Amino acid sequence: MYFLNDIERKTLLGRILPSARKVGVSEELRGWNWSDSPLKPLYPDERIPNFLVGSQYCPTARDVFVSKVRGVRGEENNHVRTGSLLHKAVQNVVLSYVDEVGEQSFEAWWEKEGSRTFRSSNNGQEAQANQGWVKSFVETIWSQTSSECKGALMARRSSQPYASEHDVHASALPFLVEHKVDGRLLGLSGLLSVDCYDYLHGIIFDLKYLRPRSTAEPWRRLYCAGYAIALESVYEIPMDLGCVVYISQINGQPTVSRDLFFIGDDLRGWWLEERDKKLEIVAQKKDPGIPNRCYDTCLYTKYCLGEQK
Amino acid sequence: MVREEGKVLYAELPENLRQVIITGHGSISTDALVLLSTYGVDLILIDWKGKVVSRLSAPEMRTVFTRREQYIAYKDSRSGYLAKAFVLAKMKNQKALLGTFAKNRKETDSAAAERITHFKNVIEDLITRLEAFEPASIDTSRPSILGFEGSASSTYWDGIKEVVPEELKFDERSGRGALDPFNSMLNYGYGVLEGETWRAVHYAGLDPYGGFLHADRPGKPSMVLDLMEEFRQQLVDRTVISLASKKVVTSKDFQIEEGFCRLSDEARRALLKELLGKMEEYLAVGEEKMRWCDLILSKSRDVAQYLRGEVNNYNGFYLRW
Repeated sequence: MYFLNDIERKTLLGRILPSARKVGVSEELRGWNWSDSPLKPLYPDERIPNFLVGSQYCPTARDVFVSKVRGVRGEENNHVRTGSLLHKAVQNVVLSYVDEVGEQSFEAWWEKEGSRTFRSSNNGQEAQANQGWVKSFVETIWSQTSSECKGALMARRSSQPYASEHDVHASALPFLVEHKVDGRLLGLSGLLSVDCYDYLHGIIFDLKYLRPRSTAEPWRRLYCAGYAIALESVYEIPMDLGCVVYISQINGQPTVSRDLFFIGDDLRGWWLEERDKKLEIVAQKKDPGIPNRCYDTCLYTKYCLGEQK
Repeated sequence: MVREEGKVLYAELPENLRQVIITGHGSISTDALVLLSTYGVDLILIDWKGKVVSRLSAPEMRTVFTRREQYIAYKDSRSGYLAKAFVLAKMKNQKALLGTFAKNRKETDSAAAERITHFKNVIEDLITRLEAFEPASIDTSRPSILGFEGSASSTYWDGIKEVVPEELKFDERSGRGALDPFNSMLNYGYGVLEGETWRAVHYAGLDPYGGFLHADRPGKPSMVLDLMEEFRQQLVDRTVISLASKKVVTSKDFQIEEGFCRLSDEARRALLKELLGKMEEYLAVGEEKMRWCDLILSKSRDVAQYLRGEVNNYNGFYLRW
């Protein structure tokens, strides 16, 4: 998932990096300037998770109000379940190689993780009907990730015969997976979790499970922008590259594509705008109202529409 | 070369110039005019009220195709689409500027910050509504678009009132013939921006008088005024407010003349220096870094490209903070 293909590597080296170096990022938008405007949060006592800042599913951002102000727990659906399992599967496989444990059994993992997810579902019939399909979908991604990691390790070992095993792993798989970072300096949660940070190439990865026929919209880049600014605020080093990894399906076949980009001023400014807007909703307990049209896999649709009646 | 009583005050190669602005008294030789024209340097004269009273530029070098499309577009939905894009960008800049001011005042004056945030939110709501508006040809859509623009502007100036020092006696926005120092500075700044935008519109091959949002009127450069809308806040308003807040310009720099408020030469120079300096500053726009003056030219060319049908859309310029 986190290895770039030839075309992506060319795009990175030939276009994105040169452009990023030339254009640069305004100093005031670097995370380490968290104590000054515009990064300084308007409401320093409020905290919201980065996924709520980036999320544009709800046109009025009522999802923020419902979850953070009303404290409503969203109703899980098959889309969310599948996305969550994909994250866990990729995390599990990559970490097993990073930690030098080696290849793991998918069946054993599914028995523990997958079955439990479906058993705990509050929508039994719908969940059970999808279980077989989800299992096969996740298994394909599992195998693909495993092969990628194995291949990278072999390539590294064969090109650096005197490297220690630790060096081979650290350079072939330069990934901090589910990296925990404290976002409190920016009004974010103290327990942010970055899907993956490639420390050798300086790329922040965010994994997204896309519904069939959905398009890769630009706002999905906001998640990486938020993590980049948060990482800058903690580590005080520039984080300029982001990549959204989309897992979707075409004709039932799992498909992976990557959107690689420069985290420049525009994107940072957009993220700030969203953060301020959403912190205000929380701090002032401001109900932004139910949108005219709800997203069909929104976790809060039933709650909002029930309230509307 | 600029001389005063035989003494050389300033010398510059023409290829290094983009525009010459004459403000105040003096004379210029015909040789200098020819030289400026040869190098494509515009010469503009701005009076003390901020009005562009004269403009000299090199002959039109573009084909007539852009202008022809500009006139045809007036009758179809492209005119409404562009007018909406200009106003939308203007409103987004208004919202961003108020957001910045609110944020900066959160700790020093939280009550003012709350009020500014309220105005910002009203504009945000108007933006959402304008985004949903489907424009037709400008004659049909103008009342609606101007309605949004008017509501947003009146809210915006209510917000700006909160940040202008009291001694400048800013009560409401007034056009040419300002009665208070703050409006007087704004008008002068918009005059400078108009000159720069005019140059951009001219070099993009557009007719400066064939606008969409601003209705046709003899002598009114409607296209220039249309395109200016998205640059007023971040370029002029921000600069004028900054000068006023830092007390670079104070109430002592103004006097009432012919019933209007007139800036002192020092204040005008300070404003001009700041604005022209800003035009040369670089900003990041998408994956490019460009000067403000080049950005205005780039947006003019975007309008021309849209009118010629080379691209399907036009996105107005705005900053998010």
